[in-house]
Amino acid sequence: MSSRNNTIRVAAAAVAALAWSAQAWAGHVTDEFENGETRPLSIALLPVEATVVKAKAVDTETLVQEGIEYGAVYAELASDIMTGKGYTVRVIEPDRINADPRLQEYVVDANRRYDEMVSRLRPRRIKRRIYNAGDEVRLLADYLGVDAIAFSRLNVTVTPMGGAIVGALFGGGSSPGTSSTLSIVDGRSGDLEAHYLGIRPVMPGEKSEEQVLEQVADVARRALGSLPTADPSKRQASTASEEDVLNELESLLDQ
Amino acid sequence: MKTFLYTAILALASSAHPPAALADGDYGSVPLRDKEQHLIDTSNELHGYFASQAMVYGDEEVLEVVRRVGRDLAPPPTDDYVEYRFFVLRDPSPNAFALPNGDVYIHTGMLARLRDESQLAGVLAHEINHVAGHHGIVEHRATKKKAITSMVLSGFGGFGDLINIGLHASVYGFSRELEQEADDHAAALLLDSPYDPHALPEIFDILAEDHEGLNPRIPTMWSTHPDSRARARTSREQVAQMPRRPRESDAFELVMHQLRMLTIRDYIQDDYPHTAIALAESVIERYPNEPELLHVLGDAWQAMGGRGPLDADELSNRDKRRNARERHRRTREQRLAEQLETEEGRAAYAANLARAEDTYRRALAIDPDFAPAWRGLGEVDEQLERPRDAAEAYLRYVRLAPDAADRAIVVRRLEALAGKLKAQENASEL
Repeated sequence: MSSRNNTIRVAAAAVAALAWSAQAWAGHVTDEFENGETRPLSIALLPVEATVVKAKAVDTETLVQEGIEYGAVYAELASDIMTGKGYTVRVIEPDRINADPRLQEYVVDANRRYDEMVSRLRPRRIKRRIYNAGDEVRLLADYLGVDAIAFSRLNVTVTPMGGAIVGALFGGGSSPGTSSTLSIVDGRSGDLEAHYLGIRPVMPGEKSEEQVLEQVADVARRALGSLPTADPSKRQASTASEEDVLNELESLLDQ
Repeated sequence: MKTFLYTAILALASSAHPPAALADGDYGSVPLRDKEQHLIDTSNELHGYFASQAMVYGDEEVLEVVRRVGRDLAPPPTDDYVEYRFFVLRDPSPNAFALPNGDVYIHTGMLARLRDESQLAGVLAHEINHVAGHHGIVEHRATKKKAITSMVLSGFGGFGDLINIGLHASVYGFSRELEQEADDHAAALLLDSPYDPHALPEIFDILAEDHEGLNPRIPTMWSTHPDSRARARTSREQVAQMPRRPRESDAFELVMHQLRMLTIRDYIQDDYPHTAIALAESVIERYPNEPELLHVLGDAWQAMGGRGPLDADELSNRDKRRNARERHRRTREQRLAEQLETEEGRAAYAANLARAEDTYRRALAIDPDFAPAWRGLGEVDEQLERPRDAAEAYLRYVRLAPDAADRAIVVRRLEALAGKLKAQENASEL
């Protein structure tokens, strides 16, 4: 009886995990993003924050240089996918950021505000439009002249076979695999409009650079597979010019 | 960002690592053993990572002070893999850390709280001793040995939890010993330097500050250290007999002024308004007639939302833990909405906006054309449902600062206010 219950529990957990994964890959978006009103035409993709770790038997080694390289690769892949869907994508390179103190300040501010927002994120609640990254993202979008900012995170965990065996025997250890998120934040409102997640679990074992790159490409495709195409006909644009707004307001205040 | 930093730095930085040392630091030469080169490689690569995330603070004047004080303190390297280099990271948490290759990082949030070069020397001396004592390598070896022992023992039925509890306790104790060692050596290093050793306990007073009632305010490397108040006491006893040296703060204050402004803004942005107010008020004491300072103080009062005054000393640890939990569970907009559901929250909200308005007006009394204060006033008026006043203030801002970076944002607000004013007009005509 007990063994049967356990089997049912494991099966239920597996089904739940699969259902969650399918949803996660599908992405979460606001209704307005879905119907095109707030879907951007131009997107600035900030440097991808990538964490690459090798979970060994007794410690975890962080591969910093690989993180920088895979992050750049992911940015390129994500840019290609979004461009293929009709968006005008600007990949904001670290060198450009570090050469422009104002841009550097805006990027750091926007990233921190995004981190705060995303740490409280429950993707299903995006539709309620309760996640906002504030003026920091609006400033950055205005400065870069884009409709939206894309923030992306990439995690790669390589668990050599030895580490996996020790983990299985004694507990602990990290699951090998690659995952990524890509969030699109509206440059006018600061609202989180879309959040995509891609996961690629893999078997334990050393991985060659080609294999990791293949995983990175795969999670980029999984994450952005359901991103709808850009649609200029549906996006709501501001009609009045800045000066029109100011003149109208001045006359209203004079009354 | 934090996740990455903790993964990478915890593995390297001596000041950070709670699990750790079975041994004291080694201040002689410590040749690397097999497979330890990666500690140095990773340390060398981290700077590239910080640069790739635009976190390296680049103000040359600030860097020059940090480097000069660091150079005054650093002993000659004992190993070819060590080279002392000093950097500043843009991060408002009061923190500093050192890597095994000799890279020492101090956060803007720590620099902003320091009063003079002697206090800076105290922070750097502590970190330099982590490098000089090879604490990163010592800890790495000790952790590895303990982890293996723990895993082997825990494999023999039933003892695992007990062993792990014992391991954790001893590990934590050893970590404190290494921290204490770095503190002890820091006092000696300051004694042999041009700086005042009596500045050392003052740093622990600064670290013990808890303006938000979250203690630790945010999980920092330093929060894994021994209790800051206890360290301040120990440190005071330690330096009591040491000679005092003259301290000059004016030049330091001037160099750090913009960094402090930036840090206050960072606290506001990260929703730590109590801390922002405390820091802003401490700077305003020295510069009472600076509109820019009053403006950021006004912004900090605005950011208070429906929060009342706070005395962290009166909060229990349980309250603080609850505060921290709530903070991480809800967005700031959700928390404000909840605050405004209570009478107390609404009263605090009104009082905070009144303080903000008063502060902006003080800035405008000094300089009526100081544009950012007009924007602040517009924001207060908007929150108090005074669309005409808000529109007038925003308009003044846009006219005074036509090239402001946030012009488009303010114009969008004006567009919305125009809609409101028209609706009011139509309603009154009816």
